[in-house]
Amino acid sequence: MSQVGTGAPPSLPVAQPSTRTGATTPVAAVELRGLEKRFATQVAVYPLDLTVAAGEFLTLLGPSGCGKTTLLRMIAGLEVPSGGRVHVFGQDITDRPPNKRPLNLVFQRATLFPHLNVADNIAFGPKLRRASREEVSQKQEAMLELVDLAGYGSRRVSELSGGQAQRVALARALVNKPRVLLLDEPLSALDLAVRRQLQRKLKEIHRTLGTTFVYVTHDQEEALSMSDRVAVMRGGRIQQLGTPKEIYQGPCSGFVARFLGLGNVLDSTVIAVHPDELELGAGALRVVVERIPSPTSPGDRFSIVVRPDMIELRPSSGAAVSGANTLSGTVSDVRFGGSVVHYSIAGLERDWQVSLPAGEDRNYQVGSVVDLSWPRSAGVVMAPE
Amino acid sequence: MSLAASLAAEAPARGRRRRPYALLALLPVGAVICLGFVVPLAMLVVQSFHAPHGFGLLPSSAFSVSSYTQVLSSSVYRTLALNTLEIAGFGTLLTTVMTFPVAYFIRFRLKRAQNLALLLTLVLLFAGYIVKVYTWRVILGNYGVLNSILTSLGVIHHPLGILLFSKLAVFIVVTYLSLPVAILILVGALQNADPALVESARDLGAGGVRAVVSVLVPVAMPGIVASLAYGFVAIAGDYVTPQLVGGPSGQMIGVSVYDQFVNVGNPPGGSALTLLMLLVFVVVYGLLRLLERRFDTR
Amino acid sequence: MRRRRIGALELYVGAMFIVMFFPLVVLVLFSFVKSGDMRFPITGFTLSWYREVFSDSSVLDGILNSLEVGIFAGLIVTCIVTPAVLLLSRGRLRWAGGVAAVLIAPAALPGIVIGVSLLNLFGDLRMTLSLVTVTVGHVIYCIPFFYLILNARLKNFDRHLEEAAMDLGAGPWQRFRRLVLPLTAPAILGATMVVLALSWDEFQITFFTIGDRSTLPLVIWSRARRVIDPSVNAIGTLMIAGSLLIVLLTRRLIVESYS
Repeated sequence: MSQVGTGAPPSLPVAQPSTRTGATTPVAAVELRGLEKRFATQVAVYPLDLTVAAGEFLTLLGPSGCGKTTLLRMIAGLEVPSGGRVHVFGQDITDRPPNKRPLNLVFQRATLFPHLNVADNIAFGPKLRRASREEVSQKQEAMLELVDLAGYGSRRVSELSGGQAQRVALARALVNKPRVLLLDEPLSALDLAVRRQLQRKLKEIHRTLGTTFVYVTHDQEEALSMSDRVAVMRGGRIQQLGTPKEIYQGPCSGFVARFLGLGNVLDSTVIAVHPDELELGAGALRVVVERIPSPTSPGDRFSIVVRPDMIELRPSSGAAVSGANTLSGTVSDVRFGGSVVHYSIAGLERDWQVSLPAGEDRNYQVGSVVDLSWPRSAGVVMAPE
Repeated sequence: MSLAASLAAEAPARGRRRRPYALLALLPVGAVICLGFVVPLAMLVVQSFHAPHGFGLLPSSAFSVSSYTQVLSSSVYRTLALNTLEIAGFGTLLTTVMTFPVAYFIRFRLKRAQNLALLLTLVLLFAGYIVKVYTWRVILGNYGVLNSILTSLGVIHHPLGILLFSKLAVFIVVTYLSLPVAILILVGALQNADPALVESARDLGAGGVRAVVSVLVPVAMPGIVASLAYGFVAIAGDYVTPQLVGGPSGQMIGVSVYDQFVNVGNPPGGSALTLLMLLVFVVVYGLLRLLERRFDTR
Repeated sequence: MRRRRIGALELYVGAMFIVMFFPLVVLVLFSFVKSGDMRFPITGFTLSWYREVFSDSSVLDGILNSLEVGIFAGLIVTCIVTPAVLLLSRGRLRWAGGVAAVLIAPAALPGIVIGVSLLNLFGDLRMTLSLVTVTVGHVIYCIPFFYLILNARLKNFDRHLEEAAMDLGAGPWQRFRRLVLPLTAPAILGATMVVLALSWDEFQITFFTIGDRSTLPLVIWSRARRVIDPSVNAIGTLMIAGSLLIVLLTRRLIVESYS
């Protein structure tokens, strides 16, 4: 059976078993109930519910302006919600100011205190709590070790590179042993190489410490590679919530599919309903997909995404192509992505994205005519947009 | 409006809690401004609506506009007013025109020397008001530096009497006094101007000066207006320079204000003069604002 | 980079700077000249004018009075305006614009108006004129400049820094002590020095509000009434030296706001 995403605003999720401890923990790390944020001119976040399990790495993914940062800041206490409650490990912290919440936030730009050096930046939190001098220096050392910046304690903030600054910001947040760590696009301002390095570091720290991470990003690759679960947001609402695999293989809407980088989204209408498959028409193309659980009838409209990694390419035989799940097209672009080759093929008045593993690639040149075909299981039915 | 913009417009999360603190922070300075500026000005207004009197005479407390009528009907004051307008108007105009190229140079042509130039201007600014006036008096005198240089160069044969104790002298000095402030204001106004603007104007064929002026003047208009306004007000209110270098023909209205208050002991008269002066300022500000709006590039 | 030839603009600016500094150079020069009447040719150099000035009690008095007024005015202005600037530049009050306009208002009027209005006020209050009344005048005069300078420097204060401090557990007083104060202290100090410089030089308000005491500019005034008093050259040079000192001390703090 092919996947069908819900497409509707999220329903109340069941408590998730913690993947860390392997046992079902009844108390969620973060629970948002009806949390919303309205401004004079528009709504930033519509009332939403969300549960983050203890020890989970959950990412809020979406384009800029979708409300993900506002949502995170409401959890941190830097924005006052227009409605709803925030619970952290069972405690209602909605009315607490940010300095009294068991959370810490890593900002998009490191936001280190310029008048303090690295070690003093890290020690900011502990010093506020009047930690002893030995305790403070102990923690400083431990944190610098954790983020691979041992020996950088006496450096000035202005001497740090972007990546180093973010690591200090991370250390500064983690030294307070927050129960939940919030991260607001911390890597978006960094170079690719540094970003990859820090992504690995973040995952490592997450594994080591077991702290719950709530992460915000607009980079779908980052979200899919790092998270336990991803919440795709758009226009102040969560469109889909699930594991990376779930949402990649079963996007619930054209928006989610496109945002995840899945091309090949078609508007289609049901032509015929068969016992084990569904026949749809998208313009001149006939598409056959596996039957979906919900009842459908001819004339119903759906969005379909054809997964680029499941399309086969063959050199065109020259004969006209007929049949379902197949068409002819001309290669318009080739991009090498390391272990994968991405083709853009123009066919039937649209651009098709096809990704072939490098080993199976037959080196099609731009301009060559090819036949595309895919199995029934390659098509994912989504709600119409 | 984008979400980002509306987010930026929102008060900070703790805004609501800040209100009691707000009053506390503004109270001291508010009280001082109120008691030391607003109230005395109000008192001046009230004072001006009394009949004029002098030392030794009993002031009358009845409401009267006779101070105003006395000022407005007097030809002496009229001459003084015209003098003042002339000197202040042309003075600030000349100052702004003369300093614009300097500001342009400092902003666009200097790199490492820029800070030094601004520092020098600051030093000039703070070098002492009264000191400068006094020095000019000596310089402009019959035996002063200027005359002696010109004589020794053979340009003139007799010292130029007109240089001192004249309207020209006042004009020279007040213009000189306004130069540093004008430079600083204009450099500030040009900070936000993109150098590429001038280059693209040149690229499109405008000649050197024309390119600069046509492109930068509209952009720097707020600063130009500020310089004109500040210069006008500062010059018009100057009552020391006319006394030191003005002679009989170079007097300005400020001297009369001083005179009325300190020598004659006629606060209503002095207040009326001051209020009329303020009225002129308001008009000038208004006109300059209109000018600014005409060039509004935003 | 092609090298610029010395063009008309460079000559003009050079000439302007020469003209602007010319009177000051002349003053300083002739304070060391024997004849002291500021005439060429120069008769000879001497320090006698300075010796005379430094032994003159009225001059020393003037210097002390100027310093006294300047320091008090600086302290008062700093204490009352800094909280207001901190509030206005970091928060986002709806009426912030209006408050700013009121604070800047005294700069829109010439010194004579402030001087006259204060004279009137003190007269009605039957207060005797003294250094206190002068200080009041200087405070009013300097508030706008202190506000403008400090506000300009603090506008760049990163709001996220305070959020970060909040997030790390700092309450309002802790934020002020550990974050705001250390970061704004240089700017505050710079603005205070500007007040000192303004007060040191101020004449037009002082003249109306001073009784029988004198600040240094007034000392010059009383001597300048006589046609030429050579000791004024020395006093004037001292004034310039004082201003120069203050400006140099605040160099980094003021000029940085332009770049």
